[in-house]
Amino acid sequence: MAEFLAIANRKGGVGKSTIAVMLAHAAAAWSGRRVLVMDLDTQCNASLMLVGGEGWSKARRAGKTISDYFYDRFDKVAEDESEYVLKQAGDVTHPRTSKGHVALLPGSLLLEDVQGTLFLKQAKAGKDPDAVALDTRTRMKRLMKHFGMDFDLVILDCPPGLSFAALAALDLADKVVVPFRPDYVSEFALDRVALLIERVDTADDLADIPFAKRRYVCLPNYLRNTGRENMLIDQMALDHPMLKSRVPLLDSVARAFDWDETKKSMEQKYGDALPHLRALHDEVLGTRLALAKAG
Amino acid sequence: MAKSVNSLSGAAKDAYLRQVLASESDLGTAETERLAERLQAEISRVWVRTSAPVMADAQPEPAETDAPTTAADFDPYTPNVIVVVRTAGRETALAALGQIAAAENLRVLAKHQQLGIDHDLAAPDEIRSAIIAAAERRIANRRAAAS
Repeated sequence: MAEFLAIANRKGGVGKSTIAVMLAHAAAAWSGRRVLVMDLDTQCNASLMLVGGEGWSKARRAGKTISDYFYDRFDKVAEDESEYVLKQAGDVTHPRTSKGHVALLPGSLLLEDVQGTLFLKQAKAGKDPDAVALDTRTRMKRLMKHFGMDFDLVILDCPPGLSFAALAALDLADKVVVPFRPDYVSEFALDRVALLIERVDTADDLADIPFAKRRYVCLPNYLRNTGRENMLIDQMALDHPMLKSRVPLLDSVARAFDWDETKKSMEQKYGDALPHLRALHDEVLGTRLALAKAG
Repeated sequence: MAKSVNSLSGAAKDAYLRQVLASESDLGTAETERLAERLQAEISRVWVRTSAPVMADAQPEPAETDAPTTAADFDPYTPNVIVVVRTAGRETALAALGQIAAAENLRVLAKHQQLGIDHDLAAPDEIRSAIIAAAERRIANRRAAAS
């Protein structure tokens, strides 16, 4: 069964899709893993980064996006779900001998609408709304879990809001990476998403959970390495487990997401961001996740 | 030729010690903070070699001050007031701020750490107390939002 890694933060613009795609490429290229990126964000940025505008549009026209998958399979027993997956996504080459590759379950602009439709469909049966919400979430979680049989790592690129799909992804995840930009409001955003991931109601309840037992870890992203940023990271580290890895604000990272059809090496794609990505890969997909699975 | 040294004390010394600890990548945030607190409490002055050699008799030893007098020397993020209040308490935080003598530097610190204080305050002691109070408000504000 695959490891499920969610990339989540309720705050937008923190680099969730960027980190999801970087880790997908790194896991396939450096760990030889079969990686699936599940694009749960209606902005669909991960899809655009991995298959480009035309590839994504083609999947939409063919009815092979994540919202199609949820809609088509919501009431059905497990079937072959591979028809919804775009194989050979991304534009990074891998050694022929490696089984590592990146695949994509494309995102959809309609995912929020479809979730509403599925909720209402259940609600018409006259059930209690809370029970319907739980049922909708549980079914989505089950549908996501099916992909675990065909991959080594499933990266769940979560949306900023709290949809059924996002909650299902957080339920399913073995580990959650929470990228953030160190600014004043991010403190509040980290607190909120941490309560959600650990399923507790208050800061005191959260504080009772040792860092080592938490399912999430925070990643400072888009750093300019200023004194102010370091001050805020130190403050956030009092309440939240923090990765040692840092991802600086680099042109090479921004450029890496201009998708094109030419396959390239990791060095060519990520340029001077490569050492930062290597450190992130080793820390997130090396011992930490392995330990989480063993525990 | 002789090696040049700078004598650092007060906030400049604290900033230097933190800078050294921060450069050790194996140290976690909590360990760095604990070591910094300990070293700041136990060491009153450090003599730091500088890279540029100077004639021993050509340059007088730098003047020693309890706090840097120019904005360029001053690190407005040290001490990290919220971290010190939360990990070591308000008295320790007050003592750490006590290493900063100049009222102007205290104001600069408050501004950079986004700790709102009354602009009319003039006495360093008053400013320090206002900074701690602002830090405590920030901490309470955040806890309220997370509950």
